[in-house]
Amino acid sequence: MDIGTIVLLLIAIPAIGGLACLPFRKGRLIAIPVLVTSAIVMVASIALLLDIRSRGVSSYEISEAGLGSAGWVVAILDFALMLFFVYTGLRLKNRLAIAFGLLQLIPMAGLEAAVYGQEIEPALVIDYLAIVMALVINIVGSIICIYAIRYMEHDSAQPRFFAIMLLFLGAMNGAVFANNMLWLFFFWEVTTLCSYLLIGHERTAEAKESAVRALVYTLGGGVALAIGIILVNNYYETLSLQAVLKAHTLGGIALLPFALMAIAAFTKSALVPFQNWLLGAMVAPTPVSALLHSSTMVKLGVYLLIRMSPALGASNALAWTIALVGGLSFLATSILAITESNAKRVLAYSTIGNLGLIAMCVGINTSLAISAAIVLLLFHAVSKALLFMCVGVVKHETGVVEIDAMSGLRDRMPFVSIAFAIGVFTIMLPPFGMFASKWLISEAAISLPLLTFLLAMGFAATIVYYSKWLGRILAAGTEADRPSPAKDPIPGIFRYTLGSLALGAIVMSFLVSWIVRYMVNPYIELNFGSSVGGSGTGIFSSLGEFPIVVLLVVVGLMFLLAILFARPKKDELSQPYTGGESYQFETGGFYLMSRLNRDRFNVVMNLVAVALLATLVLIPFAIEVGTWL
Amino acid sequence: MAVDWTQLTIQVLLVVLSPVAIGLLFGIDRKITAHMQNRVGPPIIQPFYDLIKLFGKRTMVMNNGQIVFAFACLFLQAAALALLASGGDLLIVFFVSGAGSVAFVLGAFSARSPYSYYGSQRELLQILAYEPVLLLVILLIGYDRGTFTVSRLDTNLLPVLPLALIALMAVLVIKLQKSPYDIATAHQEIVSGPYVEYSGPYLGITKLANWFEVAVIFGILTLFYWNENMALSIAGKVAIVAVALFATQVLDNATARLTRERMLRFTLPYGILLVALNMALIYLNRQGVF
Repeated sequence: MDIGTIVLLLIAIPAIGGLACLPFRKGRLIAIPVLVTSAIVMVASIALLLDIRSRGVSSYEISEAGLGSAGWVVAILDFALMLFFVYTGLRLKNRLAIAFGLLQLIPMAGLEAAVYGQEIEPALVIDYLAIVMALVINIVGSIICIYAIRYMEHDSAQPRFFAIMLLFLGAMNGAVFANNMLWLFFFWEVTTLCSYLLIGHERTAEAKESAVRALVYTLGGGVALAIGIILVNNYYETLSLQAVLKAHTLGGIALLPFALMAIAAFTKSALVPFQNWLLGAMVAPTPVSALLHSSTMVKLGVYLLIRMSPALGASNALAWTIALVGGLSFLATSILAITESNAKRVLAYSTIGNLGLIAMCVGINTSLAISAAIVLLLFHAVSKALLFMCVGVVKHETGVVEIDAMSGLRDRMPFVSIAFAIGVFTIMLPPFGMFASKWLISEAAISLPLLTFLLAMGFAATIVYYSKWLGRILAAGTEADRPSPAKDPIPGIFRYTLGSLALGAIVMSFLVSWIVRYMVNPYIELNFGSSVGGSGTGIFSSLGEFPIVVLLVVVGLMFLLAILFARPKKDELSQPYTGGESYQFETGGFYLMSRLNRDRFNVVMNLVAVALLATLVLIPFAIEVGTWL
Repeated sequence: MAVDWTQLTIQVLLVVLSPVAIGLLFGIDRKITAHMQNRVGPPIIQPFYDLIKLFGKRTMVMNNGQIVFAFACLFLQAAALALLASGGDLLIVFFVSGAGSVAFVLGAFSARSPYSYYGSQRELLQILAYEPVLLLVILLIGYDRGTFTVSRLDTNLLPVLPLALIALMAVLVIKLQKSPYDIATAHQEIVSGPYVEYSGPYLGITKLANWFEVAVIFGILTLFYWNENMALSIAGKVAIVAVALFATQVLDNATARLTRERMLRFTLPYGILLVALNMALIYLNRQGVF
């Protein structure tokens, strides 16, 4: 199969599969289109990687001329979509939504008229960055969709739900492959639509409110993107993203579109001060949260940042401001996560924090930092999807979402607890994959020493909120007749999806060196010159070495020893020490700040973030004025 | 790649002998403290007697989680020390040792027990108080030297990073579980906190893990002095350890335990401030201000 077909499959098949869901009624048969679509896109994304490796090229280009009337279709759908947003704003009587809808519609109409008849070539560019994204979207995203088959079993609007979930995957594929910025904008807006519909899926008052909030925030980001694209056309006279990033006229006021596009990315990725829509999005069914947080939506924002990173090197001030927004997002959300007792909100803060780290890397803008960003993006998707799905299973089976109520979960749901523990280990501890990126980030940060302070505090806070949560779950009583993990009473589909991600997170840790060499470095080499190498025992940079395989073997050996010894006999079991009093006790959680202090903290953080955004927009003007003087 | 056998022997000896040295250090520590309090004190090798006795006792645990994390803690701390001794990456040493601390906390959490629970919460707060400072000091070393590889840190750091060394003292006191930072293990309040549900050999394992952990932090302290003359180098390193240990003893005997909040409010800002000042000094020096 030729490459163009694979790419089109990845964009079109999820949309077709989504449409195919609609005629189904609620029931088990809906699994058919979901499974078939998932299988196709998973295989197609892997085929893409194998194909580009076997050809030894760094990217493919697909010209619009070869795609027939696709350009027209995209343009028409784009306008239909923007009209729909305006209509939705009118229906909801939400002035901001109407305003944002119109602010996209009118300028984009002008832009379409201005570039009418121009060929924007190539329409699609598939490089290694896009392929890493495609793997995340299609493999992790599909696993979440399969998981949702069971999770949404009793939902009354199943067909609509799966139609949107699958469409989301297609839109994401389109957005990461698009080189024509008009196409990028279209797919970007489709993801806004999908997230709006999915967040409001439960149709409760709270769900509607959160959905509208998400819509307004991300539509606002869409306005920034639209204006950014128009300015790009104005300053660079092309709408080919590739050509813009290679332009030599970067500088001065011509940087303004990048500042605006960065702001669009911040809204999509829910970085401070835009974090509220993602926290509100927690009312959606858990598979939606898992999808939004790991493989779609928020990842599109940081993808755009990474994509723009070669151009951001043109202005240190601009890049550093982006780094500060990212660093602030990481630090603030890591501290706020300690104060949070709702499982899904803790995970939401953790997501924003990690996206902040990626934004920070883009701002540092060295080869080392961008490598770290891509590795983080990849590993975060797997671990975060796993954690969300664990929380979802607990909610589905027991109705519990408060962390304090999960105390001693290991006694009741051993399989889920172990999967959760693997999720936490792989997200924060060495020697697992995501830690490799944290190590690279630490090394990269010393080129901007101010960031090391945000980083060090954030890392420690991350350890605290994940450990205290995992500690809750692990808190088991005296070893009694606990069911073995194999006898955990959870449905098989949960077991397989959780198991595959948990296994994937560990196996990928062993493959870090391979991933760096064959998936990350080809993109880095093209734009920065590679700085991270892989060897048989681990990965290394110019500053140090991370013998990840050696450490994994040590950890594996440890587990072997522990499993051999970890069967205390009946007469070796003890009761907890309580100073001779009765054993019944309740322990409260630890939340660091009072509610009042937390609200104050939020206000200060948002003010600083708004100031940073204002700086971001002003920098291009300041540079321009500077060149006149 | 040819294996340098002398080098390798030295490294293996370092890993094996470090905990022995730490045990002796604890013995000396107890002896001096006893003298400060007008007591005779136990023999210097008392910590070894204690450890050996623990390993000879019968196993008593609540569940297998405790066992798994006790092993994890020991292995990770030992791995961190091995990496440090073999001249590996200082950042990885820090993070692996940090993972060992997390494993210890999780082991204590694994037993559903009130004192153990409070102890682990406090231990986490201590991590929140010292980890940023320790990481910042290491990042500062990397910022100054341009490498995190221990075997390439062959310069005298003392004149460049004096404030960072002072910042490390608080970290050392916390890791040594000494007053005013013996908050997690506070005997009089929460009956030794995270250790309370461990006994016998597994208590021994967690204690031994702490020895390795302390060895790592002392190892990092010794990096601050270096000289081309091997003997002088070693003498300087020993001097740093001795001075640091004596300072913690004076602190231990002269101060009362801080509350959790005050530990956080005091250690973190001052530690970070010291590192920031030191960083500013290096930066100004590079700019040629002085």
